[in-house]
Amino acid sequence: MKALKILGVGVFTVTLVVLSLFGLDYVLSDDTRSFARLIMHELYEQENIDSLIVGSSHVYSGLDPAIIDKEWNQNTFSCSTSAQRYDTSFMLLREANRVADIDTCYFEISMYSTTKDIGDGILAEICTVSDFLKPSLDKFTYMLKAVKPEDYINAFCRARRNWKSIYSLEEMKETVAKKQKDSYKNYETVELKSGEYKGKGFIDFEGELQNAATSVKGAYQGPISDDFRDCLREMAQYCRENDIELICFATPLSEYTLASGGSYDDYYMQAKGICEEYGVPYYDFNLANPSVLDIQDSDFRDRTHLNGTGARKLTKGFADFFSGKIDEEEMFYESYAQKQEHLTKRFIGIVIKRDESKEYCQITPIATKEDDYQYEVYYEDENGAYVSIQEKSSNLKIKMPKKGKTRLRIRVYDSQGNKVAGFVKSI
Amino acid sequence: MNFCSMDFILFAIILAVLYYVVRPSGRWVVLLAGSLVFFAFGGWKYLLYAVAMSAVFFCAANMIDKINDRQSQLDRKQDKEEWAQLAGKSKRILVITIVLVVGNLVLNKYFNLLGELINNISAYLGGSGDIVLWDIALPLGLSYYTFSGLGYILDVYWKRYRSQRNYAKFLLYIVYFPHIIQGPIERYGLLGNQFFDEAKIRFDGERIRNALVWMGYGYFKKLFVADRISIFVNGVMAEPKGTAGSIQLFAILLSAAWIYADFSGYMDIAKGVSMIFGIEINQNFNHPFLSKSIPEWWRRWHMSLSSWWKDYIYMPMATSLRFISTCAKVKKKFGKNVGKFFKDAVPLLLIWTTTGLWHGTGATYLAWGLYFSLIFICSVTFAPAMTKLLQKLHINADSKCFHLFQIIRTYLLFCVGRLLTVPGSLRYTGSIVKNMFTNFNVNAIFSGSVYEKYGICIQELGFMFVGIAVIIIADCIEEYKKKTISQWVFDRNWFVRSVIYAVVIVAIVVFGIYGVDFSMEGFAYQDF
Repeated sequence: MKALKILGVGVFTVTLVVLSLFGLDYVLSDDTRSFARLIMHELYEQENIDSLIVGSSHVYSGLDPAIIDKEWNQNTFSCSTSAQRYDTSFMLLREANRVADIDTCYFEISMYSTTKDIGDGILAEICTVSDFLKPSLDKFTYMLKAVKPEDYINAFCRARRNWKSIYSLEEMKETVAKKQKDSYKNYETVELKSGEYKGKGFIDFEGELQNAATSVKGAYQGPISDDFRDCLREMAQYCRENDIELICFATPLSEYTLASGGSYDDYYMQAKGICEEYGVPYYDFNLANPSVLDIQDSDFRDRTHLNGTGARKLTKGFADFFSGKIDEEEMFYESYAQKQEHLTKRFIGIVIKRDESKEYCQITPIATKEDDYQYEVYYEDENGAYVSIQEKSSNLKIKMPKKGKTRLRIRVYDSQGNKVAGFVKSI
Repeated sequence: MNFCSMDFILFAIILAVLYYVVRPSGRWVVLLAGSLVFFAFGGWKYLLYAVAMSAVFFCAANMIDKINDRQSQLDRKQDKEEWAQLAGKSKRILVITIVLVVGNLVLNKYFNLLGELINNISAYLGGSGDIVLWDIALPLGLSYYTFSGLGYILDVYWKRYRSQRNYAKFLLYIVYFPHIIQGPIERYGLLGNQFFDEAKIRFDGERIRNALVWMGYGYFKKLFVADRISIFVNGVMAEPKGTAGSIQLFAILLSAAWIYADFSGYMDIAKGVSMIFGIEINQNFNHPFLSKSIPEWWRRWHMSLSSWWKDYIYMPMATSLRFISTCAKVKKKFGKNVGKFFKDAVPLLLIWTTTGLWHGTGATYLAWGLYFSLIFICSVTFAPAMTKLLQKLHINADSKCFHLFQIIRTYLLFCVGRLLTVPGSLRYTGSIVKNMFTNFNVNAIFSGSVYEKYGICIQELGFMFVGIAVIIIADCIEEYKKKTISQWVFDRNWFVRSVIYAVVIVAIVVFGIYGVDFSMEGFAYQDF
């Protein structure tokens, strides 16, 4: 009897805790701008998915499933979310396959994700998806594996992650008001800063890549991790067991990103090798022949993401290629180096970094072809006027006028004296 | 393994399951294995260190016990010489062991400080100053198991109980994980036998429920209150310049609440965890914030250390023939009053100076020890004068108002002690005191933006005060209703009880200070 009483109090306490957590989550967590919520809701609404695309932001800004559907006359769904990890992609594939019988899975892999270990993950990368996955043992085991033990409570309890909202009554009121709107309840579209959610996991982004000058090198991040290798092996096995065709692919990055970080081919060959090892075909759209798929700087909204125009181009190329309208030899070069040989001469951008002493800054030009480029360099003085610190010269090590943060204006000329680029960069 | 980490919670759950799966006679083996694993998480070398230290205590105590046995078979008058020989041998073993283990503790705690001091002096005098400092952390729980072991060996020497003849069983007493990081410093006589008492260690749902309440309350104190306050206190102390005196004062006042919530929170968790295994560990706090004087405070604060110090240092010293004869000489030479003062002051000075140095190396803790010895000496010396003064002023010393005054006064006196240690150096303490007089700026306390500079927002203060209020109310219930907080909770009806549990769980889980955005704060006393 006593044991029953203790058990009863325990059950009632757990019920109260769960209800409190749901209540707090409702007032503290503002997910009204989360399009991952919409994507996951749409996923659970699907009755049949012929082709599933999983991947990161490169996918939701680069591939429009509606266009693919028209081309292929089938149902394609893109379950792509920001900074999606490969283990999350695998989880989404399993979830989608539970909801609807998948025929083909297009798995986007990029050097940004495949070079990381599972332990490197940021909690937000996991929670973006896990917050909207339906409860299941599979979800539970995925999260236990993906999340560091110290983050378990944060991962499983969304109210905990947003508890600081309790300090602002206004914020809580606003959250509740937004959640009570029909548009939220009915999973209608969300407001995004520079794009519009079009459904099926595609966002039509505006904007164009500006001013390709950075202090961060863009491309190759390091060797592909063993965790990715293990994940791909398991994924390939899962697909074999469930009669799903698994295809790996990479979306295009801007030339600037590809050319600024050393040899992209090092990465490409590794990725291709690993995919071949597990019998998974791999197609990298960075190696696409511009005569077939011509992606320009203006097709990007930033250095790694396509805008709406770029997305439409890529989707067309993607659909044509995978439907067999274009064959592999026609679509892809064998390596990025081979592609570079065929590119027209173009100055793409610069990487600019201060040295350790902060007295100099080093310019690294990024161009499709080598040339005797000349650089004019100005710095912005206290009055906002640009003062010359280097006349036209091929010198790439610039003596800085001061150690503190400075804004530089750099003009680049080719060997014929034509201005080919101009950048403004705070360094 | 931090008690607040998920690793620890998983560890405790697994160990508890294994514990109750095994037959009662073998449960102590599970606890020993679990405690060794717990140690190993801190580092293998610390585990080996503890095992080796235990072996020293074990061997010495058994040697002494065997000598005691032989002595007991002798007639003290008839076999005077042999008896004296055995006594001398026993004493030598005791002294060698004490020198070894205390030397080891001192070496670990003070080697780098002494080395640094000698290097500085040597460099100042033009020498090389090349004593190489140790790049090691203090072995996990060293102070606590050293004191436990010393207490054990002294008790065996004083024939309070027989030594344990099974090393594994003795090792469990030393390394038992709930008390190893921050105490309490357990006496072998109280803890050692509980592990094998099959009636105590049987599964008892009510006891487990009780244990969970203690753990929940402990986690609340630590994660909801202590770590929240510590962000603010550490933030203020990290900004020596440009901080208003009022804010510094506020931080010092809060730091007392912080150390209490942190330390007693740990004790509640340790007590709860230990209760799960059916082992009772000593109470280490008895509502010190309701003390009416500093001596009373220290009888209620870190009680296991105070009583250890009293039983194994103060009493042996104060009752030793040598000290009594010295006091008599002083009394004879300087008069009754000086003699009494000498008798009271010298042991107190010694106790508090060593307590200070145990708490930390450097001048701050020495000053802290001297400060409290001074308060103790004053309270002993001026107690009769105070009683007379109260009578003269017609103040009823038993009135509630006067008790409240005494409680507040004691709290403030304790805070002065905090002022000596929290800033980290006496120079910084001096600058804070100066700042309180030259740049007090009382408005700063009410300015919301000021708190953001120290890592919190003003709304956080609300949470802090709610947490502190809960602790004060719970302490008052325990003190005045003579009920433990768990008993008080169990006396409520099932609905209220469930609501209390749910509120505490949600407060910890959702509003506790842990995880993303926060670094895992260790417990304040774990580095001793």
